Amino acid sequence: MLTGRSPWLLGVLGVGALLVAVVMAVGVGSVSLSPSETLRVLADHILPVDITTSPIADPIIWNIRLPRVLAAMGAGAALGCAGVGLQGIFRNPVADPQLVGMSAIGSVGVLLGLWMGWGIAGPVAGVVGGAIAGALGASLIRVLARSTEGDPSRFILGGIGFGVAVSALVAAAAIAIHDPRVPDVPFWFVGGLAASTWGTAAWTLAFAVITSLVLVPLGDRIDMLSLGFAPASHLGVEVAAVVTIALTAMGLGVGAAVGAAGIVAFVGLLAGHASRAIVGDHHRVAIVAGAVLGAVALIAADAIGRLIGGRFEVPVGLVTAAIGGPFLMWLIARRGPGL
Amino acid sequence: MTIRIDGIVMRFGDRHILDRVSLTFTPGEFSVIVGPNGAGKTTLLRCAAGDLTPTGGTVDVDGIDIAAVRSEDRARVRAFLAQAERQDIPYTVREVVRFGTHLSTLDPSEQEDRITSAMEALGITDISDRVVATLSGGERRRVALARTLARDVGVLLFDEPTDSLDIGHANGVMRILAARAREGGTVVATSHDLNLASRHADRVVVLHRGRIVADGSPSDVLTEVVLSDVYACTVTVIPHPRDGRPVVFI
Repeated sequence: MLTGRSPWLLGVLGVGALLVAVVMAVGVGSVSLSPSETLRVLADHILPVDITTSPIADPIIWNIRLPRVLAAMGAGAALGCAGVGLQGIFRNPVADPQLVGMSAIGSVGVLLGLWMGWGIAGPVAGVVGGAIAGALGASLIRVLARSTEGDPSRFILGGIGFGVAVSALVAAAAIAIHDPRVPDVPFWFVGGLAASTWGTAAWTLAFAVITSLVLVPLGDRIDMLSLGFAPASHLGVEVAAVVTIALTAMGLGVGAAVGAAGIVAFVGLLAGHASRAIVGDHHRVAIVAGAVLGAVALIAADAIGRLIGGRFEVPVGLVTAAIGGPFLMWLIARRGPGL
Repeated sequence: MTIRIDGIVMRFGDRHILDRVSLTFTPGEFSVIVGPNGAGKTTLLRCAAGDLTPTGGTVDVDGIDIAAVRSEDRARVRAFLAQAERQDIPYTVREVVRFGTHLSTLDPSEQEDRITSAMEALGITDISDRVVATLSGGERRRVALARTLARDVGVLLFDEPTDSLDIGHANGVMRILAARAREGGTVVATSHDLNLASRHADRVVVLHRGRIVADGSPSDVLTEVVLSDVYACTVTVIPHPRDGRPVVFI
């Protein structure tokens, strides 16, 4: 537990964890590359010095793997801080962007963006479309929470039902559209980062940063929501505004994450619990920690998928499900009735 | 600050919860609203707090329509402690009491003094570093009371403040509320404990089926006739041997 530690120490640890994850993940794939090789290629491109690099390693790292890893970083960061935010706002220990249906809302925009293009280059349209749909549709999560009268189990079950139904419709629409710009069915259920570009990476990271920048200043208000919506309102928290702004910001980041990585479950759930276990329950810090941990988790899950799948990589969502599913079962068993 | 409630009506569907209730609560007065279950006590207090907008009539605090302003503006005028609160609060006692000062314009050291003195008054200083979720129901209630008392406002409203408390702590809480009124606060609470109301309140309002049936000093209001009728049982009232305030038996 690092509760109460210097923000600088936490920042250094977070940045360090991200850098290690990026360097290690870039080396993983059908062509295995050492961390030193990776660092040389990165230094050659980023620093104003000329460094001799392998003609094979350079394009693999710079054109294929680094954009993919950075897209995973952005998507994981958005999912991670959204997991912390959802768990904090709804006081629901099993809240996760996919489980409450937020990812499915984003997927509608991803499909429309990829299909219609809106004059935006290639897969970036999916990221932008997902972000727009996620932000516009985020209030549906509030409606769902309200309709389940604060019962955490019904909230999650309703979210799962809603999410599966929307994902099925989106996947069916993807089949019907039959357009090479629209990904196949697995992307809409278990995700995938193979189509990542520098464009998708940059936009996904940008949306993740916006999500974090909006959520962090709301952290103190989200802390007060732990008393319940009514007591927080009696203390002067504008509950409706805080929840709407937070959900919109989370929907923006999560929708973009779906555009970059497809539907990936459990990252928010895992990052939320891990961040609270490491830095405590104060949301100003926990949201940042959730973003870092979500990014590291998705980078690692994608690398594991490439490592164990060989030429036929395992979709990132299968890896997160294999870890997150048992964790969810453990959480439910531990907490007993009513979650 | 003065709370003026003028002819408020509250209906939920066909049910009249409050029926043309008019009251004025003034600074320096500790008022306790009593009445049987379903009398409308909580609804009346929530209307006074601006937490509910009455179906008819008006509520204002020093001329401000309390239900019409934003939560933050309401919270700058009044503190309100409702009955229900979550139990799984993951923060320490001191952190939760500090929530009460987040809108305060006092400087940080004065805010910390208020937090400390509210915690001392409620006897929770020794558990200040414990996480609220690990406390008993009575301890959690005292934390919520301390958070409300730490507020830097002129109007304090409490719904069943002594709920979950033993008689010692309940008596202490009512004494603190009466003291806050003597310092110039407008303090209103609901209660089922007629003897605590008698002992500490300056004024008792008896509510029955959404209407005021008695309003005045404890001696004027807590009579056998009024209470037997309102609570539908035989009630005996005798004067307390020390101060003559009414003591209620069944």
